[in-house]
Amino acid sequence: MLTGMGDTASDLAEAATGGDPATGLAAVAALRRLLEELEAAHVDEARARGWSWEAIAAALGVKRQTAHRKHAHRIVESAAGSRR
Amino acid sequence: MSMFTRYTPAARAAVVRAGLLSLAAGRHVLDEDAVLVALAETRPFDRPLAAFEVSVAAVHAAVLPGGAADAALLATLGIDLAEVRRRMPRPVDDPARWELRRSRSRPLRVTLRGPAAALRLTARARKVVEVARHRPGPDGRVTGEALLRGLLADGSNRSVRVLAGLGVPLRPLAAELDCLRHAA
Repeated sequence: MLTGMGDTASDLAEAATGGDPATGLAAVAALRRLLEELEAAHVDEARARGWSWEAIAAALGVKRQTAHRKHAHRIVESAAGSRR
Repeated sequence: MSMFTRYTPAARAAVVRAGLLSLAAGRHVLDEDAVLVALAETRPFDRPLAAFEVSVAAVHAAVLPGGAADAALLATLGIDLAEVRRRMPRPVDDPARWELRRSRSRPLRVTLRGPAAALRLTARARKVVEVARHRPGPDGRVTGEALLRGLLADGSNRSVRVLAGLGVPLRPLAAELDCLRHAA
Protein backbone atom coordinates (compact mmCIF):
# COMPACT_ATOMS: atom_id res chain seq x y z
CA MET A 1 0.00 0.00 0.00
CA LEU A 2 1.27 3.45 -0.82
CA THR A 3 1.64 5.17 2.49
CA GLY A 4 2.59 8.64 1.35
CA MET A 5 4.59 10.66 -1.10
CA GLY A 6 7.68 10.12 0.98
CA ASP A 7 8.14 6.60 -0.34
CA THR A 8 11.38 6.04 -2.14
CA ALA A 9 11.55 5.16 -5.80
CA SER A 10 12.57 1.62 -4.97
CA ASP A 11 9.62 1.24 -2.59
CA LEU A 12 7.31 2.46 -5.33
CA ALA A 13 8.85 0.17 -7.92
CA GLU A 14 8.41 -2.76 -5.58
CA ALA A 15 4.80 -1.79 -4.90
CA ALA A 16 4.12 -1.40 -8.60
CA THR A 17 5.51 -4.80 -9.50
CA GLY A 18 3.51 -6.21 -6.63
CA GLY A 19 0.37 -4.95 -8.32
CA ASP A 20 -0.52 -2.46 -5.59
CA PRO A 21 -3.53 -0.53 -6.96
CA ALA A 22 -2.69 2.60 -4.95
CA THR A 23 0.71 2.87 -6.57
CA GLY A 24 -0.68 2.01 -9.98
CA LEU A 25 -3.38 4.66 -9.75
CA ALA A 26 -0.93 7.27 -8.45
CA ALA A 27 1.31 6.46 -11.41
CA VAL A 28 -1.62 6.95 -13.77
CA ALA A 29 -2.30 10.36 -12.21
CA ALA A 30 1.37 11.29 -12.64
CA LEU A 31 1.23 10.13 -16.24
CA ARG A 32 -1.85 12.26 -16.83
CA ARG A 33 -0.03 15.33 -15.47
CA LEU A 34 2.94 14.61 -17.71
CA LEU A 35 0.66 14.14 -20.70
CA GLU A 36 -0.96 17.53 -20.11
CA GLU A 37 2.44 19.17 -19.80
CA LEU A 38 3.66 17.48 -22.97
CA GLU A 39 0.57 18.42 -24.95
CA ALA A 40 0.80 22.04 -23.85
CA ALA A 41 4.47 22.23 -24.79
CA HIS A 42 3.84 20.89 -28.29
CA VAL A 43 0.73 23.00 -28.87
CA ASP A 44 2.66 26.12 -27.86
CA GLU A 45 5.43 25.17 -30.25
CA ALA A 46 3.00 24.50 -33.08
CA ARG A 47 1.27 27.85 -32.59
CA ALA A 48 4.65 29.60 -32.48
CA ARG A 49 5.41 28.02 -35.85
CA GLY A 50 2.15 29.30 -37.29
CA TRP A 51 0.04 26.17 -37.19
CA SER A 52 -3.71 26.73 -37.32
CA TRP A 53 -6.00 25.42 -34.61
CA GLU A 54 -7.52 23.13 -37.22
CA ALA A 55 -4.13 21.55 -37.95
CA ILE A 56 -3.30 21.18 -34.27
CA ALA A 57 -6.68 19.63 -33.53
CA ALA A 58 -6.29 17.20 -36.42
CA ALA A 59 -2.87 16.11 -35.19
CA LEU A 60 -4.22 15.60 -31.68
CA GLY A 61 -7.27 13.77 -32.98
CA VAL A 62 -9.75 16.16 -31.39
CA LYS A 63 -12.17 18.82 -32.61
CA ARG A 64 -10.85 22.29 -33.36
CA GLN A 65 -13.12 23.74 -30.69
CA THR A 66 -11.75 21.32 -28.09
CA ALA A 67 -8.12 22.20 -28.79
CA HIS A 68 -8.85 25.93 -28.90
CA ARG A 69 -10.87 25.90 -25.68
CA LYS A 70 -8.16 24.00 -23.86
CA HIS A 71 -5.10 25.94 -24.98
CA ALA A 72 -5.95 29.32 -26.49
CA HIS A 73 -6.35 31.19 -23.21
CA ARG A 74 -2.88 30.16 -22.07
CA ILE A 75 -1.23 31.20 -25.31
CA VAL A 76 -3.08 34.54 -25.41
CA GLU A 77 -2.12 35.30 -21.80
CA SER A 78 1.46 34.26 -22.43
CA ALA A 79 1.71 36.49 -25.48
CA ALA A 80 0.16 39.42 -23.59
CA GLY A 81 2.61 38.89 -20.73
CA SER A 82 5.63 38.83 -23.01
CA ARG A 83 4.58 42.12 -24.62
CA ARG A 84 4.61 43.90 -21.28
CA MET B 1 -1.58 42.11 -15.30
CA SER B 2 0.98 39.68 -14.00
CA MET B 3 2.22 40.30 -10.49
CA PHE B 4 5.62 39.17 -11.78
CA THR B 5 6.17 42.51 -13.50
CA ARG B 6 7.49 43.85 -10.20
CA TYR B 7 9.68 40.83 -9.47
CA THR B 8 13.38 40.55 -10.04
CA PRO B 9 14.19 37.74 -12.50
CA ALA B 10 15.68 35.70 -9.66
CA ALA B 11 12.62 36.13 -7.43
CA ARG B 12 10.34 35.20 -10.31
CA ALA B 13 12.42 32.10 -11.02
CA ALA B 14 12.17 31.13 -7.35
CA VAL B 15 8.37 31.32 -7.33
CA VAL B 16 8.22 29.32 -10.56
CA ARG B 17 10.56 26.77 -9.04
CA ALA B 18 8.23 26.54 -6.03
CA GLY B 19 5.38 25.79 -8.41
CA LEU B 20 7.35 23.11 -10.23
CA LEU B 21 8.36 21.51 -6.95
CA SER B 22 4.72 21.47 -5.89
CA LEU B 23 3.65 19.84 -9.14
CA ALA B 24 6.41 17.26 -8.92
CA ALA B 25 5.19 16.38 -5.44
CA GLY B 26 1.67 15.90 -6.75
CA ARG B 27 0.27 19.02 -5.10
CA HIS B 28 -2.55 21.00 -6.69
CA VAL B 29 -1.88 24.26 -4.86
CA LEU B 30 1.15 26.38 -4.11
CA ASP B 31 1.81 26.56 -0.39
CA GLU B 32 4.29 28.71 1.46
CA ASP B 33 6.57 25.82 2.42
CA ALA B 34 7.30 25.12 -1.24
CA VAL B 35 8.46 28.74 -1.54
CA LEU B 36 10.91 28.07 1.26
CA VAL B 37 12.37 25.08 -0.59
CA ALA B 38 12.69 27.14 -3.76
CA LEU B 39 14.40 29.99 -1.90
CA ALA B 40 16.86 27.56 -0.33
CA GLU B 41 17.53 25.98 -3.73
CA THR B 42 17.84 29.06 -5.89
CA ARG B 43 18.99 31.66 -3.34
CA PRO B 44 17.59 34.57 -5.35
CA PHE B 45 19.10 37.16 -3.06
CA ASP B 46 20.83 40.38 -3.94
CA ARG B 47 23.60 39.57 -1.50
CA PRO B 48 24.57 36.61 0.68
CA LEU B 49 22.37 36.06 3.70
CA ALA B 50 24.65 34.75 6.41
CA ALA B 51 21.81 33.69 8.68
CA PHE B 52 20.07 31.74 5.92
CA GLU B 53 22.71 29.06 5.69
CA VAL B 54 20.67 25.92 5.41
CA SER B 55 21.06 22.58 3.70
CA VAL B 56 18.88 22.41 0.60
CA ALA B 57 18.51 18.66 1.02
CA ALA B 58 17.40 19.07 4.63
CA VAL B 59 14.78 21.69 3.73
CA HIS B 60 13.60 19.57 0.84
CA ALA B 61 13.32 16.48 3.01
CA ALA B 62 11.45 18.37 5.73
CA VAL B 63 8.93 20.00 3.39
CA LEU B 64 8.58 17.78 0.36
CA PRO B 65 9.77 14.34 1.37
CA GLY B 66 8.30 12.95 -1.84
CA GLY B 67 9.57 15.82 -3.92
CA ALA B 68 10.41 13.56 -6.80
CA ALA B 69 7.14 11.67 -6.42
CA ASP B 70 6.05 12.04 -10.03
CA ALA B 71 9.46 10.99 -11.30
CA ALA B 72 9.41 7.94 -9.03
CA LEU B 73 5.85 7.01 -9.97
CA LEU B 74 6.54 7.36 -13.68
CA ALA B 75 9.66 5.26 -13.27
CA THR B 76 7.40 2.40 -12.18
CA LEU B 77 5.90 2.62 -15.67
CA GLY B 78 9.31 2.68 -17.28
CA ILE B 79 9.17 6.39 -18.03
CA ASP B 80 12.12 8.67 -17.37
CA LEU B 81 10.52 12.01 -16.52
CA ALA B 82 13.75 13.96 -16.83
CA GLU B 83 14.39 12.50 -20.27
CA VAL B 84 10.84 13.31 -21.44
CA ARG B 85 11.27 16.89 -20.25
CA ARG B 86 14.61 17.15 -21.99
CA ARG B 87 12.90 16.26 -25.26
CA MET B 88 10.13 18.83 -24.92
CA PRO B 89 10.29 21.62 -27.50
CA ARG B 90 10.17 24.32 -24.85
CA PRO B 91 11.43 24.05 -21.31
CA VAL B 92 8.59 23.97 -18.82
CA ASP B 93 10.79 25.62 -16.22
CA ASP B 94 11.35 28.78 -18.25
CA PRO B 95 10.11 31.51 -15.85
CA ALA B 96 9.00 33.61 -18.83
CA ARG B 97 6.31 31.02 -19.50
CA TRP B 98 4.77 31.46 -16.06
CA GLU B 99 2.54 34.21 -14.74
CA LEU B 100 1.33 35.13 -11.29
CA ARG B 101 -2.12 36.66 -11.50
CA ARG B 102 -4.84 37.88 -9.21
CA SER B 103 -8.38 37.07 -10.23
CA ARG B 104 -10.36 40.16 -11.21
CA SER B 105 -13.59 38.77 -9.90
CA ARG B 106 -12.05 37.16 -6.80
CA PRO B 107 -9.27 39.44 -5.53
CA LEU B 108 -8.26 36.96 -2.85
CA ARG B 109 -7.49 34.34 -5.46
CA VAL B 110 -3.95 34.41 -6.81
CA THR B 111 -2.84 31.79 -9.29
CA LEU B 112 0.53 30.75 -10.63
CA ARG B 113 -0.14 29.69 -14.19
CA GLY B 114 2.32 28.02 -16.49
CA PRO B 115 2.48 25.46 -19.25
CA ALA B 116 -0.33 23.00 -18.64
CA ALA B 117 -0.61 23.88 -15.00
CA ALA B 118 -2.38 26.38 -12.79
CA LEU B 119 -1.63 26.39 -9.09
CA ARG B 120 -3.81 28.43 -6.80
CA LEU B 121 -1.87 29.97 -3.94
CA THR B 122 -2.99 28.95 -0.48
CA ALA B 123 -3.91 31.74 1.93
CA ARG B 124 -0.47 31.43 3.52
CA ALA B 125 1.38 31.56 0.21
CA ARG B 126 -0.74 34.51 -0.86
CA LYS B 127 0.24 36.28 2.34
CA VAL B 128 3.89 35.71 1.48
CA VAL B 129 3.57 37.43 -1.90
CA GLU B 130 1.45 40.22 -0.40
CA VAL B 131 4.02 40.96 2.29
CA ALA B 132 6.79 40.80 -0.32
CA ARG B 133 4.87 43.25 -2.49
CA HIS B 134 4.31 45.70 0.36
CA ARG B 135 7.90 45.42 1.62
CA PRO B 136 9.86 45.16 -1.61
CA GLY B 137 13.57 45.59 -2.21
CA PRO B 138 15.50 48.84 -2.55
CA ASP B 139 14.23 49.77 -5.99
CA GLY B 140 10.65 48.78 -5.31
CA ARG B 141 11.05 45.37 -6.89
CA VAL B 142 10.12 42.10 -5.21
CA THR B 143 13.37 40.35 -4.39
CA GLY B 144 14.28 37.03 -2.85
CA GLU B 145 14.81 38.85 0.43
CA ALA B 146 11.27 40.25 0.22
CA LEU B 147 9.87 36.76 -0.31
CA LEU B 148 11.82 35.46 2.68
CA ARG B 149 10.48 38.35 4.76
CA GLY B 150 7.03 37.27 3.64
CA LEU B 151 7.66 33.76 4.89
CA LEU B 152 8.90 34.97 8.25
CA ALA B 153 6.09 37.48 8.66
CA ASP B 154 3.72 34.83 9.97
CA GLY B 155 5.18 32.84 12.84
CA SER B 156 2.60 30.11 12.35
CA ASN B 157 3.95 29.31 8.88
CA ARG B 158 5.33 25.84 8.47
CA SER B 159 8.44 27.41 6.94
CA VAL B 160 9.24 29.10 10.24
CA ARG B 161 8.97 25.82 12.11
CA VAL B 162 11.11 24.05 9.52
CA LEU B 163 13.81 26.70 9.68
CA ALA B 164 13.78 26.68 13.48
CA GLY B 165 13.98 22.88 13.45
CA LEU B 166 17.01 23.03 11.18
CA GLY B 167 18.76 25.40 13.52
CA VAL B 168 18.44 28.58 11.49
CA PRO B 169 18.73 31.58 13.83
CA LEU B 170 15.43 33.29 13.11
CA ARG B 171 15.96 36.55 14.97
CA PRO B 172 19.35 37.27 13.38
CA LEU B 173 17.86 36.30 10.02
CA ALA B 174 14.95 38.69 10.49
CA ALA B 175 17.35 41.39 11.63
CA GLU B 176 19.56 40.79 8.62
CA LEU B 177 16.61 41.10 6.28
CA ASP B 178 15.46 44.33 7.90
CA CYS B 179 19.00 45.69 7.80
CA LEU B 180 19.22 44.93 4.12
CA ARG B 181 16.08 46.91 3.51
CA HIS B 182 17.01 49.94 5.58
CA ALA B 183 20.58 50.01 4.31
CA ALA B 184 19.36 50.71 0.80
